[in-house]
Parts: sequence; C-alpha cells; structure tokens
Amino acid sequence: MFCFKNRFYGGILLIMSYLIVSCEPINDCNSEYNQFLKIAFFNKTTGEADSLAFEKISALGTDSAFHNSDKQYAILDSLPLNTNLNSTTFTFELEGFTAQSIIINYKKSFTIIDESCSPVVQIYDISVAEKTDLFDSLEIAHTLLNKNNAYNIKVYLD
Amino acid sequence: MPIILKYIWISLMLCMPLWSMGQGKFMPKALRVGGDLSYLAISAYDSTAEKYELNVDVAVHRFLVALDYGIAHKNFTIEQLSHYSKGPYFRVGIDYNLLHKDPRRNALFFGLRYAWTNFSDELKGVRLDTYYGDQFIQLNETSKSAFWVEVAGGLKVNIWKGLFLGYTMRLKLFMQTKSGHDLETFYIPGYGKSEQNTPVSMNYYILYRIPLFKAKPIQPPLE
Repeated sequence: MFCFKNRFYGGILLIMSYLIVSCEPINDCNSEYNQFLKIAFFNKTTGEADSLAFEKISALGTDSAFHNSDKQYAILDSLPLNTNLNSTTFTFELEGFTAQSIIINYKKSFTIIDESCSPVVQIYDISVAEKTDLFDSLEIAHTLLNKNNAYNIKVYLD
Repeated sequence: MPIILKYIWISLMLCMPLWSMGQGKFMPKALRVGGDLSYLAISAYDSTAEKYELNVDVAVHRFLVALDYGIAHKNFTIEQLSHYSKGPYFRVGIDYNLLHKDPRRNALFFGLRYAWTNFSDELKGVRLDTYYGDQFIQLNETSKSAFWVEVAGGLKVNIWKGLFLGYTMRLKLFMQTKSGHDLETFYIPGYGKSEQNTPVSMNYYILYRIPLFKAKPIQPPLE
C-alpha cells in the first residue's frame, strides 16, 4: 500500500519536489580578454605621450594590415598575437628608418565562458624576446592582454 | 590548506560517533542505499549532461553518516570545437537527524559534507582566427582535481515499508581547483560551473533502508 502516514513530512517532500533550482547566472559572450597587444609611445625626455606614422606594420604568419598610413599613432591598439603559437614577430616600417621588429613571447590558455560562446584565448606573461633600435627603451606595463588595459608595452622615443 | 581541511573533516567525522559511543549509544542501526532520481531525468532530456549518483547513509545514534559517489559527464560543441569534462566525485559527511526518535525512521537533517573530484577536461576542434587562419586545438588535461565543502539539509520520508523518498539541498562553499595550464576549468563534476562561488543544488533520491542491528525500543520514562 502506497500512502503517506506522516502528512506533514510528505507535504514538505511534495512541495520540494516542485522546486526547480535554476539560479545559474545568464552569461553573455563578452570577455575581458582578447588577442590584441597594445603599444604606447612616449617621449623619452619629457615622459609625455608621443606619436609615430608608419608606412607598414606586418606580422609573421598573416597578410593583414594593422595600420592606416595617413595616421599618427600614439597607441597601436590592435596588434593581434598569433594564438596558434607562443610567439609573434611584428615588423614596423617607418620613413627614414630601416625596418624595425619586435618579437613577443607569451603563454596562452583557453577559457570557456558559456556553453553557447566560443572559447576565449587568454594571453598572459607577455615578454619581449628580441627588439631593434626603435624598441630599445621599453617597459612592460601589463603582462596580461585585457580589454581594460590602456596599453601593455610602453616604448620611449628619443 | 586542502590537506589540513581534509584532516579536520576526518577528525570531525570520527569524533561525532565516538561522542555517542562514549555514552554507550554507538551502534549503526541501519543503512539506507539509493540513487538520485533527478539526475536520471537530467541525463534523459539534456543531451549535454550525464549524471549518476549513489547515496548511502548509516544511522548512528542521532547522526547519519552520509557517503555519496557520482559520475558526471558534460559534453557540448561550440561552432567547430567540442568540450568534454568527465570524472567521478565523492562526498563524505555527517548529518544531525532531528527526527532520530521517529518510529517511521523519517529523517529531517542538516549537516556538512567534504566533497572532491578528480576529472579530465578536453577541448578539440578548429578555432577560427581572423588574422592567422584556422587553429587546430587538441587539449586533453587528465589530472584536474577540485574539492569543496557543502552545507546540507533535507528530508527522507518513509513511503512504503523500507522505501524512502528524499531530497537534499546543498550549498557549496570554499571550492578549490587544481587546473591545467592550457585549458581553464569550466565544469567540475559534482560541483557545476567553476565560475560559481556558492552554487546551490538539489538531489532527489529514492532509498531503501536495510536494518543492521535491532535498536532497543524506546522506553517511556519511569514515574
């Protein structure tokens, strides 16, 4: 015979059986992490922001252009690091200079924000492996690539 | 820190029945064995999740020693990438039964659990990179682990002979995870999404009570 003699506890059990625990937060797919390195230029003497005009900026492994040749840049904020590798080489061409290059080393890890969102690559521990004259005087400001950071590398120009 | 917590927990588990034993009341009265019904339903309708859980409790004086073993899989595909987490999890704990004198052996309880899991995490497929082309990913991290503490409370109601229905509500706290380097942990078996700080979950289960030693009938107090 199937019956509840103890109606009080049976009642609680029935009520609780209808309880649906759905407290999981709803995620959007926006992440604070991205693959873009930001380089800011400063005057070595005054310490104030400076700017440069580039003829060409390229990266090993892609034909994409990362600059507008008509523009003076105080901050290069869209230099994509190669998430296939742990190193990216950028080459900068400026009028009156030989081609300048910088090799950035880094670590990466994949993060899943939500089941409906593409995995995000988190790039951290960035360091400069090699550099030419233009980048002779530089400082790493933030080792993690984060949308909220104004820049990751400070380059001081003579 | 995890080791210290583990030892504190084991000490607490041992002490509580021993306190009872000191008063001559330590005798495992019965064993309740069962499984989680809601997880079977989840596995049936949610194609990304598969969970199975066995629940055991041993009645010792006014306490219930709780032991749970579960297996959880989480598998989903995003664009061209598939993610797969799987592993067993365990819970050990003690509950205080407010109805320990109830002749129908119902239990209204609250208590604590120590839970842990060893699991693997996998991400594989192709990721589209606008600048550098397709990225082929094959990450398989097999030695991840996590532990946490649960504050639990619930009810076990006798419905027929030795058969019980019940639920446990769990508040999960202090989760610590040992993650890999290349793939951040998204899902932890037995815990849920790793980003949640204090998730709440429910178990609905069916249990069968097996008496171990016949308890002495409760004597009315002498006048």
